[in-house]
Amino acid sequence: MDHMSPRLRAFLSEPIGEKDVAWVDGISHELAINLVTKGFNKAYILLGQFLLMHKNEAEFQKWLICCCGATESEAQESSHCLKEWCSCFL
Amino acid sequence: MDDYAVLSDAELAAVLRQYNIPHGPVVGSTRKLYEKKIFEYETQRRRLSPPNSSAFNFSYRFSDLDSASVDSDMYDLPKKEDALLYQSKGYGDDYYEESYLSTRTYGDPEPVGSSKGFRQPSASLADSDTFHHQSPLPDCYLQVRDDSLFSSEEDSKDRERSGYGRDSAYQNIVHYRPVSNISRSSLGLSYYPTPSSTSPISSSSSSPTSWLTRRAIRPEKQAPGAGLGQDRQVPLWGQLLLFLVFAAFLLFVYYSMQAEDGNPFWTEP
Repeated sequence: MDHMSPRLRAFLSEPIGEKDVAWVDGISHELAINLVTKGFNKAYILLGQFLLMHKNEAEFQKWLICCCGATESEAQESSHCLKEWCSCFL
Repeated sequence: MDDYAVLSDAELAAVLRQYNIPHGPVVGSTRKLYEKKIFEYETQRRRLSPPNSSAFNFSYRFSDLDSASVDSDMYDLPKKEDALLYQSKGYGDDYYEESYLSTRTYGDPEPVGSSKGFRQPSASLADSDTFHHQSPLPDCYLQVRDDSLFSSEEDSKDRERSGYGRDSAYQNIVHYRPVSNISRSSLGLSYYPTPSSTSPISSSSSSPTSWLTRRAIRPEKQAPGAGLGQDRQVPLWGQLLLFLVFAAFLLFVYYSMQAEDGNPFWTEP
């Protein structure tokens, strides 16, 4: 298993539950605010969006950048985080 | 790019499929991305080939106009994607009408079928109902799509203007869930169980207050914790300093005890 950031490890260590979207690895504070205003206030909603895009990391990154104003690194980290979560729990 | 806003979600999905653009369900949250994708694809295509004649477009439109009694100004925009859709399959109004009956000839019968039903929300659903009876597609499927997409089509338009509200986003995802289950994507089936499986787990997770307190701490810690480990309450150098102070204190106590040979207690005569 490659080295994970502590945030990613915390995210993967337990069920996603009712965690806020800021818990997802790579989501900065500003991006979290953007997402919440768009209605993605919980992590599982963002997960739902990721699943809607067929768990395609590239698509999800594009969506995050274009529709939510994320940076490339933020998009990559969060898509990686959600992908890992899916591989662990789905 | 705003031209695509008049397309319903089903039509947008049809266009995406026609262009062989891999995509997921066209929901309120994904709509903007897919509109952008189609726009980029079309601009790229326009550079390669001359634009197709729009005359065929209008023949297709007016056939629908007659049958669905729709406003004609909605169709004045030359939609190249539709021209290509029907150009590749055949020409003429008759073929268009026929295609609803013989859906086998189409690669994608579902969006074409439902696009007719959703073209004009103000039009009566009777047209789409008659269409349902004619098509070999299961009626229940189209009924579900009809009801769900009919309401969400208007929702998606409102949403485009006013931004994504949480309720409409939820509603749209809920409405599209049965559609995605029936659609060709096999992953659609996995969408629905997943959220329901996490909901019982959430009850067993720790109390909400702990999440709230952790959330409150987390954004604040970003700045002061910069450059150091994010999990530390006290900075690393502070911890080392405290450790050295404690070690010095223990050494002091140890050596002070060594100096006393006798009774540690004061024996005051």
